Amino acid sequence: MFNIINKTAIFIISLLVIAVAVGSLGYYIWKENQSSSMPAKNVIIVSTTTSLYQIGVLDDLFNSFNNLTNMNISFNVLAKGSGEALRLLADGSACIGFVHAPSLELQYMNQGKIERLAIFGYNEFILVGPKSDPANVSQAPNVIEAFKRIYEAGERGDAKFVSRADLSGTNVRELQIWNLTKLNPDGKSWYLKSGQGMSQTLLMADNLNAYTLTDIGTYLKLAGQNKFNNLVILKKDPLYLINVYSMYLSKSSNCDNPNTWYIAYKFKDFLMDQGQQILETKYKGLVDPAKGSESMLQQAWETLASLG
Amino acid sequence: MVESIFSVTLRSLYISSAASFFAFISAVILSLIASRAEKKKADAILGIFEALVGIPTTAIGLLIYMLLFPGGPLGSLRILYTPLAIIIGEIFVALPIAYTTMFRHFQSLRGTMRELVLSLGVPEKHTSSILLRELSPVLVSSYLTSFSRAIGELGVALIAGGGIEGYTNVLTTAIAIQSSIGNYEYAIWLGLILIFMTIVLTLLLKFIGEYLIWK
Repeated sequence: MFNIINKTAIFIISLLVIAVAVGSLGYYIWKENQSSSMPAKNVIIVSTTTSLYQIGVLDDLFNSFNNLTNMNISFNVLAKGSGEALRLLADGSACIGFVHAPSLELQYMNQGKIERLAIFGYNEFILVGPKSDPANVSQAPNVIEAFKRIYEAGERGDAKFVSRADLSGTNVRELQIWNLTKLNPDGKSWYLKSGQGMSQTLLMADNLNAYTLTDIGTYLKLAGQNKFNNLVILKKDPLYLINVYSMYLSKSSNCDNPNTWYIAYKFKDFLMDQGQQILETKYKGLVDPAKGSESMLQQAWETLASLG
Repeated sequence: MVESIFSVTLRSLYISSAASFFAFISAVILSLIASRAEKKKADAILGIFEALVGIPTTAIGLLIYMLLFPGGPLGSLRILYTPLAIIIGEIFVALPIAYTTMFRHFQSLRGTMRELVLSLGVPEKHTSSILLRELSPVLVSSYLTSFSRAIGELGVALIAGGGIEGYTNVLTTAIAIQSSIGNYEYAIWLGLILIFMTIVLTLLLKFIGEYLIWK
């Protein structure tokens, strides 16, 4: 009888030992990471659109900010689509956000849940598609006309369009343009909804010989890594396709403390001063600095927000 | 810029072994208690857990988020986007599968043992340890199943953990985030590690289990 109990005990203990051994090793490493990079007080949770995360510009800005101010703040970055990023801000799950979906931003601002600190940068959306360009969008006078041509070609069975369908900034813009064409592609067999991030959607479009709307930063980043076989830039349209990046502060009670506000405003000051230089020198073409075009961007933002 | 595969792997191991361990222990305790209960009740409980096995982990992740976000009922604990939040969520992911894979065995064995115990006169307090000893192969495989479920789930880790680099980024979230930015090569490596690790751990625990039984 004792023998049996002993064996049971050994078995349970050995399970325990394995769990604890593996666990403690992991814990040790985790703790070490934590103590070196995260003093408990100055952690701030940041939600951002994936495009900025992918371009790598935020990491760069955070590092220079810490170097410049000697504040040693750890910015915990959540990379999401703009729709989700804004929701996290409204919930107070994240306190600072970097997004590019003016109409959604306006909604949350009207509800009093977020506050805009700055428009800090911009680039453009581009219409990309297969080299052969079956819908002939490269000859279209503007992007609305180009979308109409895709619709017609789609109905003929000559073209496909991949939509992100995730309420990201890019998706919101795409829907706005479909609205302007007065055509509704929803439910058509050539209109595919990926429900995924920009990179995956681009790769999907490449594999399917489809058109899609993308921010130029993500496209150039992937094109630079030779990820595309036949996806090329077909249409630019500065009037309808400007892409405005803004920085927001959550007004949730969770973020309503002097420390968070201090960091947020301090970062905003940095972003609009030295940060603009970093954008100018290192990220020209991917994210252009807002400096010098403030009123144009403000106007563009308002137009886009009102498109709903 | 991208976090080293090594630290992501270790964090993953730590979080999912902690979660599956707690899930396993609670499943054992639950099984011991429920196998004493009358059959109808026990079957009802089992039915509930069987249904829970199929819940998408994303849904569990969302529930944990709604519980832990600053405006939620447990928001004041401030554990959203920490490893602890992932562990809590993964316990709920792993518990139903641990319970359903072990409970039937507890139930049937306790049935046969009842007669044996009566005829051989074994004291009642020893029946639990005999049960555990007899069922150790079942327990090992049920632990492994729950561990695999915990380490391989994405929904909770992404929604309640956030996939923050250097803090809550585990193998599955790293795969999701890296592939969402087109870094498929890195994601594939992580995937291979995930498969390799679950296989090695499974074999290791199986051997230990068999060794203990036949010794």
